[in-house]
Amino acid sequence: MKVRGTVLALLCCVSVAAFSVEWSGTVQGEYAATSSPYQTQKLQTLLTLEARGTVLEDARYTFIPKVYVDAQDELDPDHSRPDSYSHINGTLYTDQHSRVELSEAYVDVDMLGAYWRIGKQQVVWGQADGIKVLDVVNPQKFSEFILDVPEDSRIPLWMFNAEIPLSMDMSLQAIVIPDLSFHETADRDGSYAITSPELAPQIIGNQPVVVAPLERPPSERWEYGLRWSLFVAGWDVRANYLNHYHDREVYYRSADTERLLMAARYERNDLFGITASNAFGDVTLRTEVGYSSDTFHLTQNLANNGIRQSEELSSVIGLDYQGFSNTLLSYQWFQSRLLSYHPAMVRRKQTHRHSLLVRRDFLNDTLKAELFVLHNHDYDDGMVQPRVAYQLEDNIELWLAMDLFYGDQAGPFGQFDTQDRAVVGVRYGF
Amino acid sequence: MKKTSLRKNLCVVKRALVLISAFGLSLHVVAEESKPSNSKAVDADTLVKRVMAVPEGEHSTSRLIMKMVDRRGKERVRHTVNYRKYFGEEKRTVLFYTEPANVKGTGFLTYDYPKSDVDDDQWLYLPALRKVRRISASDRGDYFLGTDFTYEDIKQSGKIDPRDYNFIFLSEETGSQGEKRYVLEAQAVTDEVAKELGYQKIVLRVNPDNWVITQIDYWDTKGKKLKTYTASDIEKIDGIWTRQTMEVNNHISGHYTHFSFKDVDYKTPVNDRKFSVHALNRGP
Repeated sequence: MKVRGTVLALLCCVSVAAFSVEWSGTVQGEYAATSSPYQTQKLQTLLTLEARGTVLEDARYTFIPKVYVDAQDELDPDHSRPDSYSHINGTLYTDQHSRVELSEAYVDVDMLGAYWRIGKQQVVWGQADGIKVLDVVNPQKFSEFILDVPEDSRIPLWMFNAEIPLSMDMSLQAIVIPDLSFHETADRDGSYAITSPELAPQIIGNQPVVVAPLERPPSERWEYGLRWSLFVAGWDVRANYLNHYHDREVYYRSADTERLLMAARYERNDLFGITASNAFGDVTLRTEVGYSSDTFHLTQNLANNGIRQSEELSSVIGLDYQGFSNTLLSYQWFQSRLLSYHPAMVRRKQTHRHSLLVRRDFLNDTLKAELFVLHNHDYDDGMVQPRVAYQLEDNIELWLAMDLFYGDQAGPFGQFDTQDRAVVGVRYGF
Repeated sequence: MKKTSLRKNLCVVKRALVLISAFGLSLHVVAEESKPSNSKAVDADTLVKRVMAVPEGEHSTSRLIMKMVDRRGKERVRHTVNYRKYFGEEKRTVLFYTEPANVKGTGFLTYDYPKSDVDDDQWLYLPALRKVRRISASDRGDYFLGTDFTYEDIKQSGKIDPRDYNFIFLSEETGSQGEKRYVLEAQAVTDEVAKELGYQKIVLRVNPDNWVITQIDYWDTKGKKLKTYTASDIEKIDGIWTRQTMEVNNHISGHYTHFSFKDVDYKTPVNDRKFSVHALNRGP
């Protein structure tokens, strides 16, 4: 696999060398330390290169390799290749302190009345920031839970992506994804290993636990989706359908007198979604609704192999207020309801989360201060993220931030209550 | 991921990006046939109508280099590619950052409607999020992008909205290059409008040879002189008078903004699809 990836990267390099090239890139250094106890969590340098150019007359290519070097190695101590990646995806090289990956590599071409993007890429659906209802086309890395920036945490997939204009303000997007790669969860020994019973299967009984190899889906069962977009009377309206696998594996548990067997596999789902957004004076409204035909939830016992299935209806309402100079206030309310709830489920029938962002720019936009709060109503847990960033030069940005968790340790955020951290970073662009 | 959405960008700031194209691309032009008489008693409203009647071309493409300098002399430079096109009376503009690396790929799209009571529609594409965001377009007195132009300045493309001011003709004078200039004073029609714009009064200097506004002095709502705008390097490109350099000196903050337009092109057709929301993530 590694060899295949390397060959692919080399082919891309050859392509890049053969046509017009425009290079740019960034080098980013970030240091993170936890407070209790004080410990360096991350001392990472990230080099991102980006090559863009034209191939033939109407085609453009983009090629983005990334190199990570982390002197600390607390976030991702297990360097074996995760089973969640398909044979055409994953890192090109990894060892104790470094990781090389072909982040994105695609060709854009306008032909047959459609705009095509073919290759390894990110596709983002939905209107919400950070809270996922419809933004599930690409899987995600969770080595830093949800603290890493989306650009770096989202896992690009090899896919065919066609945007077909139907009129000036209406279009249809079709995607076909042969790359069945899924979430890369945090290592069991990593700083952000998942322990919340909602997300991690709990051991029930005293028998020895036997974990079966992860069952991957047949490679021919490609994912696919459609999105219809319309701009009418000031409204951005989108409707989408995605036939896909859930990116988080489902753990089935069964027990006999001698052992507890845990077997994980990926399950399929039909996702239907609608989004709408509009601006009213100083306020922008963003809404998003998603219906999943099949979602899978851990239970508190081993009946039905420790899993119950349900349809799920989720929604996000977001309000952005820009009435104060150089200031943004953004609030989101996320809720999810299981339509076939079973009392044995660990998850609640209805969940609510709220987020608030306050951001202000100073000194002609060179200094930004922001505060982000995410509260999970179910467990009264959440996280708080103050951040200050300063544009020292055109190509040099500095930042200082904190990632603070609070609440019930059984909750998805409260579980990291001991992982509060301070972060300093610098990014240089060239 | 949340954190990021927040962090790398966000909307308020950038929403005007595209307007920049309007500012630069739709540069003034002036109908040469409408030269005023030599009479000293020039009617202010007639002058304003002539300034506003300047054609902008059906569509345009350009590159813009923005330079911002603070009072300590620290300089920041941004490069953009801009497209602008009229669809009937509706003006659509799109702008993409090409430099520096930290904002490269950011795209901004605006639909500017002819009716004054209809807000513009604006979208921002944030490459870090790979997402197009709808943003509010109502704060016309806010400075955009860290420059000394307000959103309204940019939207008006070097003109002014006559509905915001009452005009009087002050004088006729000779500029530093020996050119004749008409001097107009404009007072905001109401305190509310003054507050929205951030200006209580402006004084404009218009070149009657091409009807381009070559200088505007602004006074803030407290009556303090705020900033001075000047346009230069005014040349005919593809038959349209085009300001290739625009500068603003902020007298209060000491901040300075310099816009330089390059490769201005009113002839090469611009594909309608450039101005659609779903095209923002493709870049220039």
